Amino acid sequence: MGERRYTKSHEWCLVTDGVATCGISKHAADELNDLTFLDYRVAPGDAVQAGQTFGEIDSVKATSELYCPVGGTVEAINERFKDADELGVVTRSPEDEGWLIKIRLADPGAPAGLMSAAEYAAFAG
Amino acid sequence: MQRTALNAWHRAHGGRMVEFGGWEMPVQYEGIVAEHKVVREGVGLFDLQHMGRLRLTGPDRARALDRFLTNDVPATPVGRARYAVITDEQGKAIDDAIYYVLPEAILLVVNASNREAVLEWIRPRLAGDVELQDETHRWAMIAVQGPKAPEVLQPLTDLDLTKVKYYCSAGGLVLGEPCFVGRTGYTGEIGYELVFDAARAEWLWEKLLAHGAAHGIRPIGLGARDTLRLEAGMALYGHELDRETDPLEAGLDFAVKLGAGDFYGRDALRAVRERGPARKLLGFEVPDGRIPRQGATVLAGGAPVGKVTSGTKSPTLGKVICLAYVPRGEAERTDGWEVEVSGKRYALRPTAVPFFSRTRSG
Repeated sequence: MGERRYTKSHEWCLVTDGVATCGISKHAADELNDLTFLDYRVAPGDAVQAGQTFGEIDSVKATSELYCPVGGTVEAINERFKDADELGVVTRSPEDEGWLIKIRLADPGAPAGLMSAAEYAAFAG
Repeated sequence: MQRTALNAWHRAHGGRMVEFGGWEMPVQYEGIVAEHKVVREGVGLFDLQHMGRLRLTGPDRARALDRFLTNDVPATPVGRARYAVITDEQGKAIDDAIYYVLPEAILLVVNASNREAVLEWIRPRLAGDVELQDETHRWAMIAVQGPKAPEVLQPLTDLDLTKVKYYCSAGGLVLGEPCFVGRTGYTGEIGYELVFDAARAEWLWEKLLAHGAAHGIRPIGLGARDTLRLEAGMALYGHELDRETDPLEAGLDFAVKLGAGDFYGRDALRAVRERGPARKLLGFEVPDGRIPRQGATVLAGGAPVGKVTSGTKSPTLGKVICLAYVPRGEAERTDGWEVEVSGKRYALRPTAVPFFSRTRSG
């Protein structure tokens, strides 16, 4: 069982059996608050690279890009969030039920260049 | 970075602090939508000390200020307030402002981000027996806004608030503290703006929260202030108004008195009125959900014609709304409108502004 790893752009990922489940951090969800729309830019089967945009998320205040924490092949996107009324789940449970995308890792093994929960907490302040 | 007298309070009470117009201000406490609804349904409290408070005294103050404002200052009676735009010689907006005519002075409230620019514009051009003081840091300014604002404030003041009508003001006591009370605001709700000694800001803020607790009063950040003003169709400098924009294309004719005293920009604005403004500010709904932000391209019949100035998801209406400038020749078009957001086009539906008004919505 792995542990969640974090990007500087406030995504998290959790690798299980070579598949990284990814979403936005609790910190990011708190910052964005009031989410209104999620636009996926990728679909299952697409090849993605770490740092590539996989979507955009709107809040009342601002629009934010979402970045892939790891590279690989998109395994799934969380379809329920195509319905904007479901986005409260991301706000409530961003690091669990509110996952956004699953990526099958190109390279097996631990993804590089990501922060541990403690490192991210220090980074996000 | 400038700080209001309530800075420590905001930090201690979950205010998320951001830079705004050179000030460190709370953008939200519990969330924009929740705070927005508090003001629409009950009553909210805003720290507005970042707004510039400029005070004009001296016998020529009304005529002197009239040179700078699109509205008719000498014709504004004591006890009344008016909205106006400060324009340059070309009729473009340096700022928008509210002025309150008091018995002994005129209080001019300008935007935080423009305070220095306004002072630099007015000071060297000010003529007659008049003095202009920047009293922004000396006085706190708190807004009490929402349908329950009168119920919260009336028991705390010796003023009869039923006599302080919309865009009027009076001096009185609030909890024994000398206060200027203006019935103005930026929310589309009934409400009051209080100006008083900044040294008493935290004390009065906490008293208002305590006395308003039974009415569900909450502190409100700048995020909800923005969504509230946008629903109410009110211009925000830097969005609907800027140095490239004149008040007539912004639809602010009600505040532009071309037949009264001369002011900087009057001749330019007369010419605009004669030939008609080149652009018009229109309101739209985005039925499909995506929020267009400032700068998003507006298309008419497939051709790019304009730019969005402000957009949000209206918490009251549950709809995505925006304001945009479009060429006057396209302004009557009822269909074929689109907006481009992140490379995708979404249909726009022209809609009346204000998007929300208390009188219309009952």
